[in-house]
Amino acid sequence: MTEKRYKKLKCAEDLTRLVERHYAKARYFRFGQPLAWVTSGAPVELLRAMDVFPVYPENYGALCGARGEAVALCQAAEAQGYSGDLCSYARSSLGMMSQGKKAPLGGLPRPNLLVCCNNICGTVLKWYEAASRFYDTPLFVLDTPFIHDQLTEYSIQYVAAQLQELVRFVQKHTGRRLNQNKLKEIISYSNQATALWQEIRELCRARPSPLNAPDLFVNMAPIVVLRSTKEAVGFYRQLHAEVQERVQRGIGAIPQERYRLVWDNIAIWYRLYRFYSYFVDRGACFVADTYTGGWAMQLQAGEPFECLARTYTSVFLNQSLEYRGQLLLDLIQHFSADGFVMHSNRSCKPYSLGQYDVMRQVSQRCRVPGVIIEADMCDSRVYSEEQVKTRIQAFMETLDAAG
Amino acid sequence: MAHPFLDSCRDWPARYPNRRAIGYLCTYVPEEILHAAGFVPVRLLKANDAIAHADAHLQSYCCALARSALDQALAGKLGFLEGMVFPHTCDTIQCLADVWRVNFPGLFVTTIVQPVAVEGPHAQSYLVAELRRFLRRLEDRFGISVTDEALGDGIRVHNRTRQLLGQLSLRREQVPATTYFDILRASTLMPKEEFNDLLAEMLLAMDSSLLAKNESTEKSCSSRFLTTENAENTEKKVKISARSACSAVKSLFFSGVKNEPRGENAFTTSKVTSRRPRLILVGPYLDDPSLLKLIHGLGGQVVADDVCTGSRYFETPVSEDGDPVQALAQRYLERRPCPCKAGSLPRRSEALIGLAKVHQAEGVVFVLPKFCDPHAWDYPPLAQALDKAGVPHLLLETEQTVSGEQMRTRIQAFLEMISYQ
Repeated sequence: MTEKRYKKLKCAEDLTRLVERHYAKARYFRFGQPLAWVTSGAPVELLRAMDVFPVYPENYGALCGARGEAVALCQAAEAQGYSGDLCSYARSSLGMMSQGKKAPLGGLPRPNLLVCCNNICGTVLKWYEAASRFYDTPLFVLDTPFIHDQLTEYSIQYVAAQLQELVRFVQKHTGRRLNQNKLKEIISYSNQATALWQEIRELCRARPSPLNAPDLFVNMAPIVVLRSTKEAVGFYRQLHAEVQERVQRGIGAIPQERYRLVWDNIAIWYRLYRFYSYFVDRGACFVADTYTGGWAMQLQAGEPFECLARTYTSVFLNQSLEYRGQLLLDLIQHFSADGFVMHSNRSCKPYSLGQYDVMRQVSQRCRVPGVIIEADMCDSRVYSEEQVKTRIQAFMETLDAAG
Repeated sequence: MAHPFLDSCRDWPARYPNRRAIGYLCTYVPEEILHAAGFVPVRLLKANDAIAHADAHLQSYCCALARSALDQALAGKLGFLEGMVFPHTCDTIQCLADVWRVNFPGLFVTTIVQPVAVEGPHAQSYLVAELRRFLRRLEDRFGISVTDEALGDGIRVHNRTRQLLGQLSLRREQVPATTYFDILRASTLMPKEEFNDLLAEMLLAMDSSLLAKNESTEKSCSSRFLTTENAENTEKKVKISARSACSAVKSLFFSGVKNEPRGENAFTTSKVTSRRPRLILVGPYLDDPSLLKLIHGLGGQVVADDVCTGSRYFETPVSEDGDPVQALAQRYLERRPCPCKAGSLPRRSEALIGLAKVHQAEGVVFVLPKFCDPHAWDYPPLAQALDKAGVPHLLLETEQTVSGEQMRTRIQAFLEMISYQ
């Protein structure tokens, strides 16, 4: 078992329970609370402050990917005419919709509302529109203009005005009103959870690193799915204590840390443990990544609509290649990494196109080697084990030579 | 192979030595503003050359248009462009803008982040601000000042192009499909005033050629469109007869073409009366005339389209009243939308069914380049809508090239199928 090569966190079971409880609540214990499907970058604080229960189809896609059940769902979507080149989260979701309760985990519960924010990609727009047609459910599209250079004042005003619209939309379709006090409380939970998550990631600056990429990927679930809840804050407190203890006692995530690496892009969910074990075997630990830190953004103080607008428009996936290249570079330096691995994720064009240029620039500027691995986050049909192993081996030899 | 100029704007600087050009890829770029700033907007499409340089920058799952455009630039074929403008449409174009900026650091590479929620109540004021920022950037970079008057002028010139292309589209059944799309292609490469004059003459000629078929051919008119000194020649007002206008246009669009399909290289003076199945083309762009030739050669007839290098380019004029930037913004929000825009599918679907009715189309052909996500997303629901309306349809997925035996067989089978219905 490749999983054995990992030191399991003590709070792993708490995490599983937390996520299971979230899905069970979504399905059975909402007691009339309206349910919204939301994208991972949606301003969920507003929805929670209006007593709307959010679920995340992207998280469902990742779960199905990790369970090896995404391909069957993708095929179901392809049978409806959707191209196999489209995002595999989206295809998994479409496949799940058509399979109803027979889908893995019983599928996602039917939404009362759909809230789509395009700060992560353009695909979510088409995906949520398809869901809106399928369920005949109202959809709100929050348009957050992409930042090629700097965030403009009129972009913030544009997004803030749409957030006001969003409140009216939710009120119209659910009858729930925005509770300003609750919003403040929820924003405070969001900020506590993100601060803890950020601190946990910071702890990986230690040598040896207390966490490896699979730990980061598995433990990011609450910061997406349960961000802005008391439960998330509680879980991250617990995780923080455990990780801190590892650091204090000099316990590393992998047996012998020889190399420290940074990861770019979404995980290869269906190979989460096996893929990283190739690195573990050679003493390489992923001490940071560009993806799971994407949800560690603090909501600034001030007028809440403007703050939400500013924060959600500035998420890293809504910013230029140069910005994301700089982010990678900063991580490499901040975490004293020896190299970086970029997942060229066929499903995710906005995250992946441009990686070649980023790799060249980053390698040049901080003089550490990088490698690009071709794969897909959920669709294992495009994953070639042999090719991946060869790439990793060559990369590790470069690291050996450099070290 | 089309005309080399149309294929890859190869001899653009030789043709227009005194003109300045800025490149773009997508119809969400306001050509009017570039015109007002003294630039000729030049639209890049996929060239026929094999990719030599772009593979080091863009993955294989990136669409051929983005790869080819970048490849042309990296190969040094676009040196005459003083800048590139990228609008926010799909994720790929968004990335391409940044890749371009990284690889051409001195070049004026800028973006216009068009709103996605075009039907939203706040899209207009946002877009006006974004267009004004674009305008300021042009002014700052090139040390110019663009007046409202110049913008108004740009709008009028482009509205005329739209109006003339609209007139041409009404006569599209008198023109071979390849010629029709070649003329459209030329409209995105040539200085607009020059193009407008040419097309106006051609339309006039087409109409009068219906009345007087036997006018003598006047020599040398064709050279007007192909020589590089045409700017100097314009003083010589050449009187063009109907026939010569036709041959002039022919030589513009067809010189260099060998083995033209029979019957395709001339204007037909009346509607095609033979039983040619009437087709509508749907897709992001048509960049390869060989597909149109194939359809024609197999007996099909393209009567309408929902293509960004086709009708979507020229429909919906800009209002000539009031503030020009406001008017430009308004057009982008109202036009038949690209599938990247929120709420686009119902509008596209309705428009497509409408087109099929108005043009008595017997089939719809989707020409979808591989890895074009927005169009791939709309295909299943559009196909469903067509099924419901009883309109047969065919999906052609294209990669670097569209030719090939399989393509031929599929089109042939489709045409046979709809002929029997």
